Amino acid sequence: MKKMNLALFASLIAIPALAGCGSNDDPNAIKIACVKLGYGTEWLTALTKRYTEKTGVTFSIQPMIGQAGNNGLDDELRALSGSYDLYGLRPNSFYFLLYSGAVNAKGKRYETAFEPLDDIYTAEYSGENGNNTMEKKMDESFKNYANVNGHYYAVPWANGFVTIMRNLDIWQKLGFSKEEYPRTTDELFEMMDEMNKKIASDKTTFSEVAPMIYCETDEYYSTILGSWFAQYEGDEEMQKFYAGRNPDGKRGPDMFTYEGIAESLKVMKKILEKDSGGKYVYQNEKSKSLSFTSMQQYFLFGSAAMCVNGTWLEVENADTRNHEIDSIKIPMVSSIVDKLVGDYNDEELREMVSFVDAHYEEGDNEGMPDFSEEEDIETVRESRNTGSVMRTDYDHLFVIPSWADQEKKPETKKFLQWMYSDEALQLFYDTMKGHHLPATPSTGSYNQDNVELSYFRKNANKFFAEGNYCRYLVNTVKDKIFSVAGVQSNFSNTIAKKKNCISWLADGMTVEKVIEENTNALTSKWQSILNSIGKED
Amino acid sequence: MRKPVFLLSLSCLLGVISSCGGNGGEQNESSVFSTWTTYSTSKIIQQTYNNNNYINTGDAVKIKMMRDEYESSQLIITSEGRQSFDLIKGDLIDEATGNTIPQENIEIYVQKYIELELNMHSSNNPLFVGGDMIPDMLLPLEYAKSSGENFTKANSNQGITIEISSYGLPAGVYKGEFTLKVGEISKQIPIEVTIWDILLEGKSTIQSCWLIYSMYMLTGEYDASEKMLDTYADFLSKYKANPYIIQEDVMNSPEALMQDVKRMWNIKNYNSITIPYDFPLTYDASTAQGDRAASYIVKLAEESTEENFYLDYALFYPSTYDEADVIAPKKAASPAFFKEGGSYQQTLEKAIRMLENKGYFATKSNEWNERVKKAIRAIPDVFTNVNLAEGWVKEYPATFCPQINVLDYKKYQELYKDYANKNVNGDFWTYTCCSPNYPYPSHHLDDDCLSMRIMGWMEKAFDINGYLFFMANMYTTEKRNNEYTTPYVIANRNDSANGDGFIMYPGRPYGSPTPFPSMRLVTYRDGLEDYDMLEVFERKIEAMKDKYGIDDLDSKEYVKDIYDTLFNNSVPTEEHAKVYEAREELAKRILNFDNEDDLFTYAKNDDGVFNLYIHTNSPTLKIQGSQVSGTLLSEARYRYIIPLNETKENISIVTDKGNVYEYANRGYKNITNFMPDYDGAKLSKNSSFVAETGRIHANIESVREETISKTIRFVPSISFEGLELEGAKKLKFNYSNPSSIENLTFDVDLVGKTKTVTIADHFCMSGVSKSMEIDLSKVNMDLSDVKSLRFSFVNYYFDSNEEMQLFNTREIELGDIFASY
Repeated sequence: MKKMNLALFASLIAIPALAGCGSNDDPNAIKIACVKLGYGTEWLTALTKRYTEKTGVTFSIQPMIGQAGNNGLDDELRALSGSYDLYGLRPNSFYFLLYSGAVNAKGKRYETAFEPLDDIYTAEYSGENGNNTMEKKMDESFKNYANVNGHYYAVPWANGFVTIMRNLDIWQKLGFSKEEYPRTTDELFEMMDEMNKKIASDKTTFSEVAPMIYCETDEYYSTILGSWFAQYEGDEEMQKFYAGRNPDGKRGPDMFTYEGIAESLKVMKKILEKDSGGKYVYQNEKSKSLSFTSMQQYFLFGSAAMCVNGTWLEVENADTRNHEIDSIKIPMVSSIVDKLVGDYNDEELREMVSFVDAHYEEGDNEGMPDFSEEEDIETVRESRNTGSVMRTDYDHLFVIPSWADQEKKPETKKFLQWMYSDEALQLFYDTMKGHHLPATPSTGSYNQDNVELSYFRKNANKFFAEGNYCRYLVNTVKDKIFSVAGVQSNFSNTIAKKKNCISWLADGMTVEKVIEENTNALTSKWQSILNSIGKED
Repeated sequence: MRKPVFLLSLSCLLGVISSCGGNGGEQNESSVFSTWTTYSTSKIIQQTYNNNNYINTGDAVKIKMMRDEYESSQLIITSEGRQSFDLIKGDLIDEATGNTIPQENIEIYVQKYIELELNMHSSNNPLFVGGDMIPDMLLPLEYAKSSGENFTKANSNQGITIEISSYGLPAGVYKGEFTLKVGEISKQIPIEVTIWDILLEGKSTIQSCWLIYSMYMLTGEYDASEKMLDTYADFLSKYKANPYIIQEDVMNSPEALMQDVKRMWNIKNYNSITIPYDFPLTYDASTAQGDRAASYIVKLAEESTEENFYLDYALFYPSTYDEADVIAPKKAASPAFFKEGGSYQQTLEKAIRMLENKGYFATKSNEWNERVKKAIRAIPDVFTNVNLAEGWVKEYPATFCPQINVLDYKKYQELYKDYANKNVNGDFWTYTCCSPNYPYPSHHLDDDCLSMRIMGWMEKAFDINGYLFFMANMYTTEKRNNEYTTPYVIANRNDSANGDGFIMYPGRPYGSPTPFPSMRLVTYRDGLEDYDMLEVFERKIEAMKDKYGIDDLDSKEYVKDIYDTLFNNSVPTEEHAKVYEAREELAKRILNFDNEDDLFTYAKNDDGVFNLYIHTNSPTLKIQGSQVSGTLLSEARYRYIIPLNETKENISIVTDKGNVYEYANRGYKNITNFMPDYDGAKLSKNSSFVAETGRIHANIESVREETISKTIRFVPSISFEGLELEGAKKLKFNYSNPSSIENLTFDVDLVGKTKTVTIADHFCMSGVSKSMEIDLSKVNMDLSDVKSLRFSFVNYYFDSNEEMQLFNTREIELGDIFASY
């Protein structure tokens, strides 16, 4: 889910990459247009090359650079035009087109805008044991995203998560061991306060170092807002919100009145706190001026102990391999104690979090802290599993337009199906140096023989393997209120303000005002929203 | 550099031929076909895959209409092969009188189809999907024949619209046959036209403003001359779409405006003079800009006479402020323009001063001068808003024009109406464009015509007296307006809705001096003709009220049950038959009004007692078999007041002339019985109530809770428990807002064991009394599950600085609640 730095690629608006990346004059070649974002397209080159070796089918790949390239492809699909057999992009219009029903493209009617792919999801791979279909191998949340009205219409080509990443070199220099990590938000702030003290006491060693760093113009804090929201509210309430409902389960402009949203914003506000001179308390001042990729570089080279970032980091910046960078779970929101049956202070909550981190299966409560209630351990466990790492990249999809070349469609589908064979999954893994698609091979794991995993990658894959992450991606959601009516799920609905709630909080807006702003924005256009999604009985 | 006209003509002609649906395609020569009729509100696509889902109204064409209107029906040919067709008019004769419908009152159109690329809204009408050939353009049969387009397509439907004009015709039942020829086969089509003796006297009462852009005329008609623009203006007026011509660089002078007005004045449908001045966002009434704007008003005043009082029909559409609620710079500029004493009102006052300075008033009577000044100050400034603009409505004396879906709540219908009545003489408009979409009324191609017809009824029900459409003639695609686009082929021209921006088609490529209508334009007109018929009924009721001195009766009570069959707030029914049934029932009621007993009845809640009021010229009546004498009001006008009991027994009324009438008693039962010691009310935090016999007075308090989220979700309310609601069909009660400060907006909810359902909502200004009737028959809840009936209020609002504020104390006085079972 890597956003593109527009400043870097603005001059290349809608211009495809130069030919030479797999162009092919063969009229039977499968023509692929694929956006080139943080994950690049090296994996696609490798996959298509192997498929050609196996089958003789050739490909012509047209990379499209950045967000502008992505938007160009999306516009083509929305206009029911374009001549590619396969589109790899982040389709903004995915749900819109599928909700519209039948389309008429190039003079012919098709029941759906995209080719249904149920057959390739359920086709068995020969020579593989158990879990030997795409559907069985693929992560649940990715399948859910690609499924509309009971049918699959896309295949994901990326996989990732966003969380807090640590530069362990700086982390340790600031006085913490690798094994220590903030278990609660209160603990996070205590640790960062300590870091600040250390930084202030040794300005030579820690010149221009801060506990955290981010990029104001291209930030990922909005992505992790969902984690504290999910932790506080739990799975059932989150499902309500992402179905476009208020806490009472009804549609209304008051859908941002979950207490978990306020709690999430409170944490974020403190993370973005500034002193009386307008300087960040916890963020590196360079956050105000660096581009995203530059900020990443600064993080890798020690300008901060922590940075909210994603699994693309190593792909986008090879320097990651030269540093000890790992991911940690987003700390538990401390105010969750208000919802627990027992009465706990933050120290006790930390112990409970430590316990569930070591015992993350439901019911595995033997040895739980004496002071805790079992019911509360389960609540903390559920919250930890619901909101500790933000799973992303659901929307990086391959789609086959229904109007694509009919003769080539079967082969295109076969290629897509092959992409999730054990062979292709492994090839992707090897090419991406240990980063993998949102699937587990039928063998149960990836073979590490051909790749030397970096510290970063080993740690990231451990998170994937544990599987307990927040599936409530903040920015891309299926319900019509978000995907069609345009309501922002990242608490940034506004009548007139620019940017998003992260910048509002950084500029001093109170949490209450953010919630008011969202409520006012929805209230002011509620009729338009209902017009887009249909009024309920 | 523009391509030469010759090439454009040729490419257009090719476009015409390729879009006709008659030439090309399969060469199936089968002569097998069938014919059937259906409602004119139904779009029968050219493909036949959906044919089993359409309503077939039989072989005969049956049309019922009032005098001086148009009405149509559809004849569908479903043909296996490609065949020529023709429909030859026959005589339509009223056997009772020998009257006939002249041939020139009968128009036959061939429906032309336009291809839908994509259903534009994910929640749009699922009847229409990408690839469907949608009937839209109505091509007069003679043009279809001369251009070789009177051919069916193989395995397809071909619609023919038969339109009757009853202008100048007497009432009667006219019958005859038309001859349909399909290929070599002839078939007689029975036609029956019933003209009711119902006539709207004078001009239509609903105004309109339809924008015609001169810049698109060249691409459609190859002619953007004044004459062509006049042709378009006259054409649209025929369809009750009053024109507002937008010239690219020029605003028509006041003199040119007057010329147009006088040219069109005698068209019955022409009732809206949109002054062609567009106020910029930087408009300053004190400058030459104000002089210019006011000069039009001055001219209209100077030309107005007792007989032709043009000022009453004038309006402005400040299109620069269009949809200002969603566009930041417009939003910022709006207060200065629309507020009390703002630049708009300054313009109107300037016009009055200009007349004074010219000595206009000095030569006229006081009475005339007052009339002119009042009319000038009442000129509407039509202000379009996408969403509810509650704060603006309460603050600005503008003629608000929200999208029709904004009125999908009774409380908002009332809000707009009440403030319109308070501030701007009741002027209240609505509009549609790329939004709203299905299920709300729309002109979209991927939506049926029924919704737009029913919108005419909604407009009457909501007291809307104006409709605006932003562009009638987009003959190119807005995003590529330097590129020629075949206007007969492209359905989506501004990338937001199919059919948005165009409602007619150019005639020039067919050799027609006038454009061609679309089914959508025809249905819009039909909806407004229904509005006119409702106006006829309302005038009759008002006349009765005047006659008998009744002032506390809403004439809508007499048509509410008909409205309930057609729409629920601003969502129309999807049953086509309903609108025709509604027309027939309305006609019956209008015709029944003219009875020799001058009988007029209504029921009223007199402080908790339901009484039937009967007014008649009959000095005695037999009511339920008992002789009763009436109270003499004035000469030959008597009143009877009969208590209504809780039974549902109909009341039989016999006049002294021996005529028998029946009143359907709903049998209302008091289910609250408010008394001083009433303890059945439950209140939210800090709220309170006092009960008396027959009423309860509640003070409803807003509350600031410990978190903003809880404050937003807090529901100030008063609830009533233990009510006998099981089996109830309707609830009825009076209420008032005794507050001198706060308006009341509230919902009425049924709170059940597992869910809460809102069953009604209302709005009431401070110091006003109202009554409510709630229909429980369609509530999505088992009434035996109901724990309480709750009146709920919103806790907060956003002020003009977008700051959240709590309401002051709101007061509501409720009379006893009655239920009918």
